[in-house]
Amino acid sequence: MAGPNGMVKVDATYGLAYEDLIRNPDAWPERYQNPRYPEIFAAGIAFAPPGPVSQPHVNPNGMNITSAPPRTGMVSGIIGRVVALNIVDLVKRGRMTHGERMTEMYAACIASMGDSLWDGSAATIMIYPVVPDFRRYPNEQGRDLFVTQMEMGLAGAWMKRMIHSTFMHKLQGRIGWRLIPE
Amino acid sequence: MEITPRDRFWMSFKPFQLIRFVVLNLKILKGVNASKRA
Repeated sequence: MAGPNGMVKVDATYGLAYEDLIRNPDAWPERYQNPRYPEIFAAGIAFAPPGPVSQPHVNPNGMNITSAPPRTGMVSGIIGRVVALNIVDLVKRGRMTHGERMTEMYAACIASMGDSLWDGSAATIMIYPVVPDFRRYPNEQGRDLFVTQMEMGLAGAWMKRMIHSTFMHKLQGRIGWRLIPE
Repeated sequence: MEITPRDRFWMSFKPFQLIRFVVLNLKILKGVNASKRA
């Protein structure tokens, strides 16, 4: 059920070399369901990714340097939504209708460096798709270059404040909560 | 990457940051609309 590192295997294609993985965005899992035990799902940091998100390297001392895909924050929220909706589907209809690969997923992260709305600051990082898809975005990064960016400034502190408020609104299930991204 | 005094000025210059706030929100809207969310 799990790989040697303890992470649960899901509906991904495992064992591909990095060069094959970047040519095959469909190798990333869509439903986060274990193929052997269909009642087991693994969301967020629990699932085993099929490989790194960028070219692996080896340093002069022989240490492998690989970038694991981010699976916390917004990504784990999105995967949690997909899994929860699919479980509801299975209970009500007996089949799953939801799915989102990390090659189809948008994510944002805001790192606060002072929460004042007057002289605070934050780094805003946005990325789409989370895992590069060179088929849809045939540029050097494999991503949408309008959306994907990082910047620092007071606007980030305002974004952080807005996200806190809207996220609490969503968690409390108030009007329009479904429209607010994870 | 070093943050220069010029960068610091723009990072706290409120009219410019208001524009960036609007642009960042547009980027979020575009990213969320483009993503699958299915």
